[in-house]
Amino acid sequence: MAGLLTLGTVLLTPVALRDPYLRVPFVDWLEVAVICALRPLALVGRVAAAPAVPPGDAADAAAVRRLRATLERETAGKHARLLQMNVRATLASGGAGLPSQLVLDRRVSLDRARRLAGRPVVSGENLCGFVAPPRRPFDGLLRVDLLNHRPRAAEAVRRLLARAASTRSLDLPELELLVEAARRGDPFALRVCRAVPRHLDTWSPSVTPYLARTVASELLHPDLPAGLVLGRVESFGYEDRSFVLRRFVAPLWDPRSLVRVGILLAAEDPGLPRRGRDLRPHDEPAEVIWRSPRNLGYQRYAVRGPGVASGAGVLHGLRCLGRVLWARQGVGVAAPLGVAGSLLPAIALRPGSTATRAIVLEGLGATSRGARFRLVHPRSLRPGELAAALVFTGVRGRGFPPGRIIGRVVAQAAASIEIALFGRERWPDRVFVPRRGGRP
Amino acid sequence: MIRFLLRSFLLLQALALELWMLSRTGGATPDASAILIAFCVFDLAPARVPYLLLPLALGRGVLHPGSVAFQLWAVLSVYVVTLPLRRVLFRERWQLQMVVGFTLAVGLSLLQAKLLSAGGGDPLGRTIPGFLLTGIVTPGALLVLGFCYRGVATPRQRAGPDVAAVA
Repeated sequence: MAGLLTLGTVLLTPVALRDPYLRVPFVDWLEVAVICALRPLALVGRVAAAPAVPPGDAADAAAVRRLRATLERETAGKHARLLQMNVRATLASGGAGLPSQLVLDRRVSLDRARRLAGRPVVSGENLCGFVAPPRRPFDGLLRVDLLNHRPRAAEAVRRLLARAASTRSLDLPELELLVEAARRGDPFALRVCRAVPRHLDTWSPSVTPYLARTVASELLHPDLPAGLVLGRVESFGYEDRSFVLRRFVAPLWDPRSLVRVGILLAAEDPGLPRRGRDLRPHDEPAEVIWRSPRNLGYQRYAVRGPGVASGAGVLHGLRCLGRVLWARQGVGVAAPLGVAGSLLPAIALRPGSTATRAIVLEGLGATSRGARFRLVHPRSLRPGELAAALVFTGVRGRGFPPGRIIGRVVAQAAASIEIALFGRERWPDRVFVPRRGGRP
Repeated sequence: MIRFLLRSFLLLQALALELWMLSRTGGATPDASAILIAFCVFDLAPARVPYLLLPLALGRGVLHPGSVAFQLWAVLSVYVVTLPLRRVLFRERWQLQMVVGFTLAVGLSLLQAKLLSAGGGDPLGRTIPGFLLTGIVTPGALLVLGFCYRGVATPRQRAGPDVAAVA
C-alpha cells in the first residue's frame, strides 16, 4: 500500500505543481458531499430572495448608468449609422492565443442575421471584426469574427488593405500594408502579408509607434470605410541593418475587454429598434450556507440556489461580490474575485472622467484592503492612471454579467493594481446569481 | 462504511473548528492535518491510511485554498516523505512525536505558501506559535486519536496490532 501511495504522489506531482487550482470534474460530487456533511440542515427548503434593497443601491445605479452612457458614446464614435450591442461572451481561440469570436447579446431573426453578415464591427474608431454568417442550425444569436479569426481551411482568409503612419510626425514616410489574421503561434493578432516599402524603419524611438488604418478597396472590402484603426505596427528584424523579417499589427483592444461594439450599417439597412434594459436582469436568488471565518488570509463561501453554476458571478444588487469556483446540482463554493491565477476582464472608470479603460487582470491573491492583480492587457499603465477609479466587470461568459461594480482602485503601479473589492467584506446571507440557461 | 462516514464527518468538523480557531487566535492554532498525518505515520497500518487521508484531502480541498488534487498531493507527499521515519523512530517517544508533528505542520504550510500564495506566507495565516503548538499537542493528540480510532474499530481490528501488518 505504501508503494501505491508513493505512486499516487508521483503521478499527482505534475498536476499539483503546474496548476494547484486545477479542478477534476468527477470530484465535484464528493465536494458536494463535504458541504452536505458540513451544513446538512441548510440544504433543506427553498431559497428565498433577499427582500431588502442593498445599501448603496442608488449610488451604484448612478455609477452603472454613467458607465453605460460612457460606453455608448465611446462605441458610437463619429459613425453616422451604427447598431450598438452588448457582448455576451467570447469564443474560440485565434491568433496570439486570444479569443477570436464574440457572441452578441441580442437575438435576431435569420433573415436579419443574413443581411448583417459581413458588416464591419467597430468600437469607436477601432475596427474589431466582421459579423459572421449565421450558423446552421441558427440559434438566433449574432456572432462576430474578430480580426484575429482564422477561418477553416476551406474558407478564404480575409485580407485587409491598410496604410500605417507614424504618430510622431506627419512628414515621415507611410507604409502600405496587406494584413490577415495571425496564424497559431504568432505573437500578435494580425500578420502583415505585404508591406511597401518592405524595410521601412518603423521601430526607431524617433518614429515609433506606427498606427495602421484601413484603406478603401473596391476589390478586397467594398463595404469597409477608410480610416478605421487596425492597430500598432510591430516589426521583427535586424535593427542595425534596417532589415525587416516579419511585421505584425497589434490591435489597440483586447478581445476579452470588449463589452460593447457597434455594427456599421449601410444606407439601405434598417436599424433595429432600441430596447430599454433593466439594470438588474435575470438574477436568481442564492443562499450563503457556510462562510470561512473572517480574519483568515482567504475567504470561501458555500452557496446554494437553482442558478448556482460553475463560473457564475455572485451578485448583490449591482455589485459583483465574487465568482462560483465550482458547483454541482445547485450547490457550490464561491470566492471573492482576485483568486491567484484567475483572469478577470474589467472596465475602469475614473471619477469625473468621460472615458473608460478596458483592462484584463490576473489575480495575485488577497491583501488587507482587497486584492492585488497583475495587468495582462494592457501590459502596463502610467502609475496613477487609474487612481480611485471604479472597476466594473467585463465579459466572461453567460454567467458573469458585464457592467457590475467590483470595487475601487486603491493603489496602482505600472504593471499591477490593487482594488478594494466589495466582495472582501462579509457577504450577506442572501445573494444573487445570473439565471442559467441559453447558449453559450 | 458507517464507521468511515462517521470518521469523515468528525474530521470535517475538526477542520472547520481549526479554521474558526485560527481566525480567533490570529494564527496560534495547532495544525489538525499535521497531527492526523503524524497519526497515520506512527499508529496506522498503510492499508488504512487512504481512508483517513482521502477525506482529509477532500475537506481541505473545500475549506482551504487549492483544489482537491493539490491537497491530496500535499497530504500524500508529506506522509510519504515522513513514512521511512516509522522504521527508525520509536512511536513511544513523545519527543520524536513532537518533532514529527512540528515538521509536518511546517512542511504542509511551506507547500501551500510556495504553491498557492506564491511565497506570500502561510495562506491560512498560521504563525510560529501555531507550529510550536502543533509539536506540543501532537503526542497527546496521538493518544486521544488512537483511543478514538480503536473505539470505533471492529473487534478484529482491535485484536490485530497495526505494527504486525507493517512487518
